Amino acid sequence: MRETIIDIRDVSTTLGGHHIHRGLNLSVARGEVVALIGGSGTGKSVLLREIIGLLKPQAGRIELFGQSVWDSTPEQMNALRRRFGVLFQDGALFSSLSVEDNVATPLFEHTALPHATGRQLARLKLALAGLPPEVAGKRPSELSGGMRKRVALARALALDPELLFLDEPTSGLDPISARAFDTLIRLLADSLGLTVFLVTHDLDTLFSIIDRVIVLSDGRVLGSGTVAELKTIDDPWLKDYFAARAREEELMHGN
Amino acid sequence: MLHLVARHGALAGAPPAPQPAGVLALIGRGSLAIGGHVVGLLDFIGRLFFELAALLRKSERWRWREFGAQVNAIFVGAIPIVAGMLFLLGVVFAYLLGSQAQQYGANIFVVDGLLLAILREISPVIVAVLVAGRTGAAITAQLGTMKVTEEIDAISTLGLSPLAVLVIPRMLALLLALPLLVFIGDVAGIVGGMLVTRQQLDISVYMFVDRVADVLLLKTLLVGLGKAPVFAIFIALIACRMGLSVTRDARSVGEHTTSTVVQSLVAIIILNAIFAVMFVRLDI
Repeated sequence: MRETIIDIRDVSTTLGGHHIHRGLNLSVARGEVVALIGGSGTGKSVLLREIIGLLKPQAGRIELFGQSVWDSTPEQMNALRRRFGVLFQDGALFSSLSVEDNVATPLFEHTALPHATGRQLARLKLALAGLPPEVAGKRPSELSGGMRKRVALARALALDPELLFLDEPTSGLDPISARAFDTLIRLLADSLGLTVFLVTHDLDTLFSIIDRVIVLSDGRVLGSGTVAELKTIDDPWLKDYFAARAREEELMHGN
Repeated sequence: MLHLVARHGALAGAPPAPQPAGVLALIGRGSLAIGGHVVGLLDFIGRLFFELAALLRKSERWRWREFGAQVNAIFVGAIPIVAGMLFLLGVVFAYLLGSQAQQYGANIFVVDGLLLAILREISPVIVAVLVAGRTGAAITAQLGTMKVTEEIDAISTLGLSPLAVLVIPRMLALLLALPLLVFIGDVAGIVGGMLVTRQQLDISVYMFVDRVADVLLLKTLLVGLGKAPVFAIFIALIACRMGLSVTRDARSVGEHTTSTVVQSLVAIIILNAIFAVMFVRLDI
């Protein structure tokens, strides 16, 4: 049995009078690439924010690496933050800093490295994320959406985390960039031994790089397994979801 | 297609039109909004004090670079407009005062009146209003947009406090910049008045400066400059709080920016009135 890295027990969340999660349980083991899917408003992003310590659930327990996120002291939480990286939906790069400084910021904040070394490491991470060296000096506003995501990925990887959170990594990208980004994530996950937890709507991502899919519905986990296993679950939303893909393939073969 | 519309339309039915709100309802809603702002501001001040206390213990966490960038944006960028506005206000005020004083042959007292008005009231209030419109709005819009693009969340997940990284440098920069700007406004207003008195009232520059040296009390200058930090704190508090309380859309950024300017102006006028009453009671 592999070590459990994310452990969520009986989490309940109420936002603005709506019950988002009702006693939600899930766990992720080391080395897995897991996708969280669910219809709009099922609280995928909310759950992600709860795991990374941005939003406190009303009840339940969330553990990362066996340590509770919401019962830690600020020092413990900071130590925990060094072990995971987050890629926000539109990158969330710091607009006032250059690309290089964006990636180096976690190094400046969490390590005592000299700034020159930090910047060197940042350039290394940018290369790792598949970016050419000339972007290092640019501003985030000068980059395309796909490049911004790669910079954000480099920043998430800056501290060599064991765990990576991705919020809709392929949203807003054209299909070619999206597939390239998927491949990059899988490549990094395999070569760096990362555990990846991503929230997505993108069926192609599910079919290409994911080990296990977790489906949220009605505030709970509806099912979890490979895509093939999920197709056997009898749920209207899930059936519609996969049917969209089937229709797409029919159209493609028809042409 | 029409069938599609008909099918969905039949299910939903037209929602009842919202009732036009009565005056009482509007007053009630307005009062609740004001109450909410006051409570929110107090809560924000409390959290800021905790953050400041934490920063005082760990002095290496001060953001000097951000502080420098903010001073540059708030102070250096505002010098031309502050000097220009106060110069013109000095001109206008001296003209008005001069045309009255001339009738009684009290030309030289225009200098007294000008000094008192510019240093004590006009410069602090006008500069604070300018900064509220210029910097307060900019701070709210910037922090609000950072909230929308999740930059604030990214800062938190790096283990940094948005208050320490963004709010405190802006507050201190305003605290430093506003008194300096008020002083620049003082000088510009007096120069504007001086030019007018020379043209209109035949008071030479020497006479003007001589009279200033005679009647200007340090107290007058300090009263004006002393108001500035208080205005600065309120502008910074309101602007930063409104920026950080933006929800995740563009409309909210606009609303909060408007609200920042309105709240800041109201706060400046109220504070100035309190100061005026206080100074009279205390015989300052």
